[in-house]
Amino acid sequence: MFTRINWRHFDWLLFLVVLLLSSIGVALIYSATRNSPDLVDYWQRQVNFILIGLVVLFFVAMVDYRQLSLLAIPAFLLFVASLVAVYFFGEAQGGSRSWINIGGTLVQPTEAGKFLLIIFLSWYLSWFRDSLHRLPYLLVALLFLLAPLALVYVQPDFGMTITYAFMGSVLILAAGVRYRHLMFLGGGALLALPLFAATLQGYMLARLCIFLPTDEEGHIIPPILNLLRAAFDTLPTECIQPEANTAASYNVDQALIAIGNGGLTGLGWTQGTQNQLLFLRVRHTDFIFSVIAEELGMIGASLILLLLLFVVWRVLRIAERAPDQFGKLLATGVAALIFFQIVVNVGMNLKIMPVTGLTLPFISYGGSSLISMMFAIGLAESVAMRHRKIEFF
Amino acid sequence: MTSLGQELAASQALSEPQALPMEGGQKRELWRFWFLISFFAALIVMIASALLTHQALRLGYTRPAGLPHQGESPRGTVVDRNGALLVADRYFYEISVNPTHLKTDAGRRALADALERMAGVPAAQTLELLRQYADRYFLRLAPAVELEIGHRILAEQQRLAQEGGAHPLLHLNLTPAPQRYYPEGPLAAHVVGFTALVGDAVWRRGVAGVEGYYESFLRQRNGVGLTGNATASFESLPASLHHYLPSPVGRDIVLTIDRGVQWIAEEELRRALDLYRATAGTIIVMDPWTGEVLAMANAPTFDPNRIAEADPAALLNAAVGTQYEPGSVFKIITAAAALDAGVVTPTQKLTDTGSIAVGQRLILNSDRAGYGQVDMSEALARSLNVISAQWALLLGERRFYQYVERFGFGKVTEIDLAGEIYGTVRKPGNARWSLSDLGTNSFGQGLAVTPIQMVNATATIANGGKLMRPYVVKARILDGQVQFTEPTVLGIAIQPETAKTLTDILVSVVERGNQAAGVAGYRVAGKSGTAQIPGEQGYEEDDTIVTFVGYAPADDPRFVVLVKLERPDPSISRWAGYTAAPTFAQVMRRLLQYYNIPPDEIRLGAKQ
Repeated sequence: MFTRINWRHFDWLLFLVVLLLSSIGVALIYSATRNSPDLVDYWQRQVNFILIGLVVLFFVAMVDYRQLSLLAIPAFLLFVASLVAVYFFGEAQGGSRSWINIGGTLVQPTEAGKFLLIIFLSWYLSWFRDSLHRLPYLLVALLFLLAPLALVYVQPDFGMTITYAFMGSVLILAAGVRYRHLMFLGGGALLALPLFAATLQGYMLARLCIFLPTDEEGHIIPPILNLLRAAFDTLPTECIQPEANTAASYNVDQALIAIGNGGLTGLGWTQGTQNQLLFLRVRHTDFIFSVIAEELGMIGASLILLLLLFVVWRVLRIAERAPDQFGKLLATGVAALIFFQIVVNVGMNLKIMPVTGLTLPFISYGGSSLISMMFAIGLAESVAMRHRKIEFF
Repeated sequence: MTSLGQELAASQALSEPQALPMEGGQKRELWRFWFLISFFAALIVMIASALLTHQALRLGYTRPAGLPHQGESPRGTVVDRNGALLVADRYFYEISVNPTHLKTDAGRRALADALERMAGVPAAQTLELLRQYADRYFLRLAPAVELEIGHRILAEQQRLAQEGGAHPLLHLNLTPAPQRYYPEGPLAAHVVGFTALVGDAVWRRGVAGVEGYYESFLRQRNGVGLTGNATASFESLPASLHHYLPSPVGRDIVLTIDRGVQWIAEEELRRALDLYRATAGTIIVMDPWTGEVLAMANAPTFDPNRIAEADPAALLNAAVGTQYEPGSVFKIITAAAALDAGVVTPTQKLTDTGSIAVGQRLILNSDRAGYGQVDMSEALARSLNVISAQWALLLGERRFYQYVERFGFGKVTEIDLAGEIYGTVRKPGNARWSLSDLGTNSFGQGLAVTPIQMVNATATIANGGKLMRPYVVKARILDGQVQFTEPTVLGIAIQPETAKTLTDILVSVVERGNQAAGVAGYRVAGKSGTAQIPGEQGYEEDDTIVTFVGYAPADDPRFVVLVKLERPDPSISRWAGYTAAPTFAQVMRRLLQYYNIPPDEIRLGAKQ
């Protein structure tokens, strides 16, 4: 399994940037939590998570990713089965039935599912590569994507659903799909919109309403509100009541104030008033980008965004140089995952995307989110290390 | 070779997927590559432009406020005209939690138990809320606990945090939350108003009185500030106002209400209700020259600190929010109109035969008698319906209703209090108006007015004919800048000479007819009115609404006072002259005393 490990092809630059981003994350978490008595040690915890994450990263990198193709089918079946099990026997936490109780501990299958989905779809799309120009093969790929998607959607977990949808779409697109099939799929998606509207959960709609444009009194502007009224029988209070809307969009509004506060150069590390006076909620996780923007300004925020995009580009570069289609798709999936989380998280902070609870990769506080990101980089590095290995034989 | 040919060749050459030569594949997938790249790029451009607008250009940027303000918005302080505190924010701790942080039912139960132990919030109630709203991100568990209890919880949290445990108590958020506090309790409750949760709103807002009318000024968050220019600095205000102002919020209101006058009005109203066993009542005191309301009292009333316990009917400010048939006090308006239009002179005698037909209706005097040749003073002193109907007929309907409108009836007075209504005046042109209405309207039947309309119309006569906009807020103070409410003339109702003549007539009315309304040593002008209460089948048998409205001193009126009592016990008296008039006299006497206004003899003597 670990034979012929070639550290020469390990992407050290990518690794160093990830390490740099994680360290910046620790500094910002310190700034975001130092005034909250019950959070003061979170930056130390994050350091521990980084250490665990690095072990995971190297371990995954050492595993030859091609071994994973053997696991693809059973792992995917297990994943779908666990989602079904969650649907029937799962435990609801925070309104979503996303957890399953295994021997007394609660496990959320969707987090690992991101990778199982990437691995399985990459395997399928590379294995049937020659046949993908035929519609049935494409439809089967789509089915494999839609099955977990639907199960996550009914949990309901909005953030995970759109993450799966995005990763899956990028993989299918990258693997090869005919132009007219794409049109066909696009048309199908449009036709499915009413179904989507009919099953859209109240809380998802509420979150949507928070980010819709409002007038000065907090009412959603009439043309959009009328559209919503036409589409849905009942609207959550966040869509109708200005007070409820204002209350619910509190976090986002405070984030926007913080971002505006930062200006070009920022107020300085640990000097952000929005951050330090605790106006920002969940500032060490979901809204850490606002802390960046307020304390480090537009220049700092842009630099960190560039570093994050550098990571995405570097992983895409690994995809491009991958020795086979499976590796190429694996890396593409990882890049898509990281990219998507950056865009959705930063977009949420800037009120151009609805609130989903997706974290900012490498920077947001949280063990599972950080370790899963390290796992993702490990996967990419695993592909990188088998770089043109064929040439050596 | 065409791209299709290439594609075919490539796919045929590939029996082993892993042996894919990348160069050929790349070219083939060029459109796909660009499609993805442009999609990624579009998202990046979106982020970049949003960052640019918010940070570099700062479009729509609002300055952050100075205090953490999740929860209720702090509101400004309200004082009376002399700086006596009427409303202020008092701080409590609001206890809230993010229910999604509590992952287990055991955790919820532990939290509920801890909250009961420390703050006395019933555990069962907390637990039910936590279960019901498990997917919410914000849940208010206790809106207001005393600061001391809050400090104990905070200390406990600190201790638990140091121990490094994960006790559910650590999930509680304690936010200092302002609550409205009314130190004077029910005093001026209807003027001050109160705040409440409206519908399923998350935060309280002012819904009545000044709290309601000045909601957007008083609240710190999303407030609009001053609508006009500031005219003075806070420093220039008298020292008495510096006692409670400015508040930390810096959006404060000085009322025209005088706490002492308000006290007098409320005490006399209570006494009148006891004496005459009336069910409800209103007393309004106004400065006729400016429109300032010095006191406004209604009974029954309520304690704004205990809204939940109040009778909902008592919450309504009857002075501006109820209408009634005023009865004979309205003859003041008819007389003013007739004099001003010149259709009668004060000394001209009209014949009272005891009845007169107007339209389809026979109008009688209240005592069913006729008094022969009477002048205006006698007609008003005896309150003769037959004569006032003749004045209205002499005016004609067009001019009569013109004057009714000029005196502000049938429309709002524009007083700065929430909940004012229009009253009801049917005019020619209205399908339900008929000529007989002209007759009955002339003595205050068949139309409905609000107490504030009636007192404001009387103030118009007291001040020489100017209809003023009544107001209760003397000044608004925002961040050290003061904006006074400027007295506003809404229109000229009658000429000054008419007003002066009518004042003399109304003085003689008090001297000859409503002696009970007189105050020794002062000339008092005024008129009483006893109105039957319209029911579903005509007027009610015995019950009445009695009103007295008047002003003093007659030569230089300082106060206009309206006293209105509902359903005084008929076994005591159903007539205004024996109920509302003496109450008016009590209020007026105490007012003149309170403001140290010397009796006419001394005052006018000193002038010469």
